[in-house]
Amino acid sequence: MLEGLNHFIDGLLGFLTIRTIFDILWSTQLGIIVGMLPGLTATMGVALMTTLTFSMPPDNAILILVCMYIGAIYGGGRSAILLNIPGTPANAATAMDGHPLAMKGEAGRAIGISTTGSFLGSIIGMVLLAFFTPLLGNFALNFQSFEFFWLAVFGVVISGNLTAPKDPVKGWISGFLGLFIALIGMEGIHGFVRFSFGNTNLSGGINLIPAMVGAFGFAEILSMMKYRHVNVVKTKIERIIPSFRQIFSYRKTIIRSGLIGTLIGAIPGVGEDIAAWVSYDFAKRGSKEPETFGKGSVEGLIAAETGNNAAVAGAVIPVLSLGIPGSAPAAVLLAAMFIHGVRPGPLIMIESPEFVYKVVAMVFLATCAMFVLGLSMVKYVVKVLQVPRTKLMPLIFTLCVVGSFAIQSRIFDVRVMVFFGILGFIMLEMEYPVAPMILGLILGNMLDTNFRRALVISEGDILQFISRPICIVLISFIILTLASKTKWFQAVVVQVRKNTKKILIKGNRHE
Amino acid sequence: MHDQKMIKKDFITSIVLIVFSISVIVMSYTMPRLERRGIDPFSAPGVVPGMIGTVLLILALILFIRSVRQGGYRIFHKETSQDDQVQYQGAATRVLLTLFISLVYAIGLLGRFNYSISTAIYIFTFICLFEFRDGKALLDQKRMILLALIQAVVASVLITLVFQKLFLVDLP
Repeated sequence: MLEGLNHFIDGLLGFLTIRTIFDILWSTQLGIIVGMLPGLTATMGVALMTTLTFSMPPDNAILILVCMYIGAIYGGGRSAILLNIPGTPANAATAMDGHPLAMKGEAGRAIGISTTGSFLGSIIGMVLLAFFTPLLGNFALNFQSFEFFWLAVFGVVISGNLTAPKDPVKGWISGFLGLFIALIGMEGIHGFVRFSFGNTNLSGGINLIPAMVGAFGFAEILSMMKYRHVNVVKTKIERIIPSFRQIFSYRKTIIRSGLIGTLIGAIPGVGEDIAAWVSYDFAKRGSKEPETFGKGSVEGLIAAETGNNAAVAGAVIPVLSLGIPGSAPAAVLLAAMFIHGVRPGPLIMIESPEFVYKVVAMVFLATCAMFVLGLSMVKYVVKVLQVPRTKLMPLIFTLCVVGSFAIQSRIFDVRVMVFFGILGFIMLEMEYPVAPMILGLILGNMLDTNFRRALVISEGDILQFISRPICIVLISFIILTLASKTKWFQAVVVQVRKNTKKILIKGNRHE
Repeated sequence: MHDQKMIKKDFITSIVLIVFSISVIVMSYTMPRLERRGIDPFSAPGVVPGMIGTVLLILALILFIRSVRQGGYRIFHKETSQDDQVQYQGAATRVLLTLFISLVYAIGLLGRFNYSISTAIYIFTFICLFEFRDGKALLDQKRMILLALIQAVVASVLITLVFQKLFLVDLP
């Protein structure tokens, strides 16, 4: 623990140079603007930044990406408040109460509250990141091929379940489609080229960054162009600094939302949007004034913003400890770490524990920058929202093109971006979540090599897949996740709840 | 109303997915097992794709059966609500136009012509296409055209300079 604190302070001090502070400020501000602009998501921002920071030293590059990530998730709240259009999907819950507050003429106050909520959420997430990453990493050292196989399956199943709550079958289809796409190209055991149809570019496999830029950038452009018009903001912004006494009165909601946000963020491929909704839902259930939710409730706004920003740090926990991303932008962060020669995963606590605490320091610095920038220059920065989308979208597309091209300097990657853009748009139209597909794309290789390796080790003994203790736990989680969406399971849960209530009431009477 | 439309979409996507997953299974089955190289059959390259194809097939069949039960095979369905129509009027045209010019730029122009010029042409065409007002004469819209031209040139030059000179990134 003390060693961790030392690493954290070392990391923090290492970043306190004028050049690095300048990098933190511009990248966080850029993140806020990217998050604010509908059509530009956090994923797209981080992916684009990966390209731009390609030639920088690893620590600086990853710091800029973390700043962009935290800034964008926070920035999306501004357009949610002012336009009722979430700048990133993570801010959909923010719009529920943020926009009604703006409609009442309290846009500045709403922005102040959302900034403070995001700051506190991020700090809670950061503390949990520092605490749980080493624990999870050390635990994951016990994992062998059998466990990694089930972990990949669990990731896809739970991501599909939570990102498509209305229809999990579509979430699972999306996840398994991603797993399939990951298998295109040369496989890792015998070097055999699969599903490339003689195309030399395809035999190298599908790169994650162009695929993500397409699925989250180009698809978003096509979606935005569906609308006839988007209202331009004309709200006045006055007092921004929130009343800290009022914020303090919601401390329970803040702590609860921070914990929920971090936990949901840490679940593979689930992300900030679900974290915000779950936090919002819990806050509503636990509130003394649930009727005000959706009508400009400060508590609702705090819950949503605390939840989504806590999820950012949460999503980094599995990135560092397992090499599995907790959300879509975290997936790009993971890819960027690989590009810069950092190999996150269970071995990170043995090979380079200081890197984990450096990331914690990065989250801390980005959070502070977000808080300061979030409460200043608001009136000028929100003017970006007045740029019409007909002028903005072609610019975003040119950035998508450069972003996907630059890493390997291949036109093929631009084509991959376009393909995934169209695929992502069709999926959005058909109500298939895109996040599980991207998670599948990352986990595909892990599932493939570990499954076959495990079969070879066990000489085809399937029993070993289902008899090892960690495997049993993972399989139980998978079954529970699958079963939780069936009617009979929900009926059983309702019955159990009723019976428990009866027993409790009887018990109270006896007393 | 919306749900009915989605059931129809589910019906179509499930058929596409069934065909896709069957092809994946067939291709995985016909994949070489590399026995001649003395490779363990459990580590054959087709094992995992076949498994994923099978899971996809099962999920697609669930979607198919569900949509058939809900009447997704019927060709006609009722029109969407008035509100939706206003907001999404011409949505398909706008999306297809965006797709078309973006494809021409990304696949047709880039790599064949100069990056800055292609980008300027793309941005200019995009803005003009979507900001052009049908009823107005071309002369009355010269301000819009001029502004689009300025934005296209400035953006293209800036992107080229920032990416190439500042961030040392290759451009197509």
